[in-house]
Amino acid sequence: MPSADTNVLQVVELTKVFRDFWGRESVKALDALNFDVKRGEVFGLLGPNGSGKTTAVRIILGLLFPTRGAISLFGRTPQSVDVKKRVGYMPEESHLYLYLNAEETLDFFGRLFRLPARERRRRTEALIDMVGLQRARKRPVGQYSKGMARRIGLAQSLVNDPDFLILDEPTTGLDPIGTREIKDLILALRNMGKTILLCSHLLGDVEEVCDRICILYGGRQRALGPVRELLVSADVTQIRAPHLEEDAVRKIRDIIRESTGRDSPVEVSSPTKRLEEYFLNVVDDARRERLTTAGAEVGTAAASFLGAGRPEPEKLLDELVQAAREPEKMPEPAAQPAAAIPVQKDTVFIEELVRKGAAPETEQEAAQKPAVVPAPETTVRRGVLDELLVDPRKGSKPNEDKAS
Amino acid sequence: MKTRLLSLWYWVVRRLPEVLLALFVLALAPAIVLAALALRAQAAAMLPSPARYWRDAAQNPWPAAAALTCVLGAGLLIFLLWRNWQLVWAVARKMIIEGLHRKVVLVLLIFFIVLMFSMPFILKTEGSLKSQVQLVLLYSLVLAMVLLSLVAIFLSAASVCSEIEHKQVHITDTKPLPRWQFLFGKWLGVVILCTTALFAMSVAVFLFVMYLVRPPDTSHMDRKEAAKVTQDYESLFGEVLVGRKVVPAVLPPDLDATVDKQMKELQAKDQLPHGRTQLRRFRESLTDAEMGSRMTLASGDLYVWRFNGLQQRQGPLYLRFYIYADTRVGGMGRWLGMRRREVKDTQGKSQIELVPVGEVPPPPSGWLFGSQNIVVPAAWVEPGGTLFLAYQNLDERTVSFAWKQNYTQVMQEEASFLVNYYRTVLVLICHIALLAALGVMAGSLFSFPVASLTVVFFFIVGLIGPWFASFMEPPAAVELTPMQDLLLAAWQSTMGTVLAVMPHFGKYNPLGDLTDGRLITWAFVASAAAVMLFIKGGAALLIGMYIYARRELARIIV
Repeated sequence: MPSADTNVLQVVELTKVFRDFWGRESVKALDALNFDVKRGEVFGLLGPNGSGKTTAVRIILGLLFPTRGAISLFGRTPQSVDVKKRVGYMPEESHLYLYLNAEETLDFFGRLFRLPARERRRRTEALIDMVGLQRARKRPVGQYSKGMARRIGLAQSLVNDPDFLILDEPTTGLDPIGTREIKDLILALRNMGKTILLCSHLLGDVEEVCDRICILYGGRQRALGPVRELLVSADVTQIRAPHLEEDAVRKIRDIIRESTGRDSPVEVSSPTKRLEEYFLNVVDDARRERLTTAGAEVGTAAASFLGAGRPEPEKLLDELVQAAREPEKMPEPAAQPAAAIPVQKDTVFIEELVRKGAAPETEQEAAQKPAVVPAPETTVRRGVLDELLVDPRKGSKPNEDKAS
Repeated sequence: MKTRLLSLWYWVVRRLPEVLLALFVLALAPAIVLAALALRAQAAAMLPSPARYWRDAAQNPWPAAAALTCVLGAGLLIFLLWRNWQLVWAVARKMIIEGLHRKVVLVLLIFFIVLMFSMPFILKTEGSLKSQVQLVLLYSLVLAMVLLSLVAIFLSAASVCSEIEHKQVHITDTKPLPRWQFLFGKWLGVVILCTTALFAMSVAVFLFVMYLVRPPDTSHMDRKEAAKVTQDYESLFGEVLVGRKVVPAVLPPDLDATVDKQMKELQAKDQLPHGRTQLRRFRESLTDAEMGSRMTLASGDLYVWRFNGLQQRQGPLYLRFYIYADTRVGGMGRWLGMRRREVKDTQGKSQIELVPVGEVPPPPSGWLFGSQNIVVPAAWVEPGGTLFLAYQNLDERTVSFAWKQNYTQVMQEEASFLVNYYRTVLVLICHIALLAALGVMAGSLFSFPVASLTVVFFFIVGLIGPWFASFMEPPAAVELTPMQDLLLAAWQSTMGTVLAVMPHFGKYNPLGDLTDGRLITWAFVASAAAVMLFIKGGAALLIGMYIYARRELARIIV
């Protein structure tokens, strides 16, 4: 089929009806679902609990069969063994063999891809390092905490260096570091040219990393399209600034009122420090003091064999932690090269405002200025946590990246 | 030194599945070599006169068919393993780790060893060493068999079920592992684990039996007692720790003709029952009556049995017969060895005549009612391998001999105990492989409790099926209408088919023969392997694979 070149996955009129033992229709889990996942994109499948996300994923993987409709994965049926060689899957719960340890688990799954022993060892090492389970590698997976088991679940999904990765609720059960790592990993993998299907009800996760999303409700498709287009609200402008004096705030308020009219609502408040950042700092301090843990450690970036031949991505998390400490020396992460441009726009705007606050001009002068201030035409509505974010880089960049 | 030993130990622990695989191959390697030799011997027997071989084979095609099935089945098995070894072994290896992790095999092994060593103290024997060895041998192997059957059933069913129930298949099935190979690997894993455990157990039993069989210390006994103990010890090697070929007596050649003649006479008088089943059964009862009358000897009568296919060589022959004699007095009578001799009659025509060459006198109290074993010299066997034995009734009472199951038979040593024992273990492996296949099949179909109960049901039906089938025949005296006769035939053929499909553990049970020192032939091993391992086990695995490959794995069947 012609779309096989660009579409990794094509879902056409997918319907799944579960029937009980007597053949009565018990639930219509999916109703005429239509979407496709293009090569190299991160596609998000969203929806509240029980909306059919996992059912869709299971049909895509060949674990369930569709009642109606068709699925084409790399141009073939999901049951095809050749297709499975190129797919990685991390289920919503880590369904692992509890009596195997981390090494044996990865070795077993490596064997299923007919990898030679040496290659299995190499990948096992790299993946265990990547998910930060170096110290727990010899413990049976049954003794792991939920988060640690999730990390092994992630590692096993990457053992074959898949072209198409399906992640079902990848961040549930993970600590903030793990969540951050997964998000960074997803972006890093996308930069390596992998295609990712992300399935989640945590909008914050999806929004940060996805190019396009499909929202399900009750098995029906409610929305489909690029995240930016779906989340944009053209009628609100958001301004972020360092702490301003009451006087400066009043002036800004006046400027805005003048340009938009007396009655329009304007909110001004101080952002609170984000919990994630605080947590990261604490853990970072502990790491500096060389405290050891038998549980999950900070993982390295994507394992070296993934997307072999491409340059290894830098340690995103380290950079983020570093950045939180020394905001002025913020390096640009390799994974997000185009991120700075719109932020600069904002910065110009804010600098302009601050200068006004420091050296007040007349109100008239100020009123004549607004044309100088290039207010962004669109502002992305952030997730709740990201609203509170101090560092503008973390929250806004991925989407800006996609915009570029 | 200590650290080197420790690291070696860790290596063994890490490589335990590979170690078990190596043991498995080592345990089965002699079977492959011996089977190849047996096939070569068959070929050698066939080549000089193929026409005669085929004529014999056409009369009793089962051994040849079994051998062919085994060769084809083993070839297919090896081909499948060779082509898909990497994936099948990956699954089997994990299955072995799972089995070891569940520790059920280890616990059973310990349980077994404890029970085996305590057996001589628990079991009530008549006191002789022979009966002690027989009982230890029989009960240890029965125990090993039952324990490992349960392990094979529960391990295979539980493993497949729990992987579906706990959703591990959601990951495994998204890897490029064809579903049939997943089940095949599971089965192989269970078979390797149970087979190595069975070998460990049977080696333990063998060593324990060898330990029990020591020359008795007769120094503190009086001469009579010492002689009895020594005889008991020696009889052990002739009657238990040996593989003796069983040769039942040839049925009288004119038996069928005689019965046919009687049937015709009755038909002429219209005294035959109607209906096919009843007719068949009436004929059987006539045959019984005819044989019964021939096997009944009045005072002074003599009856000759003929045995074919014996070897003319050194060593004793064991005669077994079942005699209905007066329990109080016992049957007085002597056994005679007979030889054919050509004699000229009065007209000068040559005739064959049987002349006695030796005799075995009755014991002082006479032959007691029931099964009797005596030793007769192998020198009585004629050069062609034929033996004629006669019983002459010297009592004033009438005695009679059993036929059918307890028909008079002669046994001659053919193989050593070790070979016999090894063949027994091979047959037991076929049992376990079939049960593992049934477990895997049921596991791919049902949830765990249902699956294991199903296989246990199969297991029990396989044990008692033939006994159950014996209730299906109405009494011979009952007159059936044609409709009833038809229904009965339909019922019997249906139930016969059902029972034939079920695992037939009673039919292929080698333990009775082993403890009785009877030879377990390659033909028996081959037919056990063909029926249980390749036909029934293969069918169970194929059904399991077919269903498993077509079911929605993410859907849990409760």
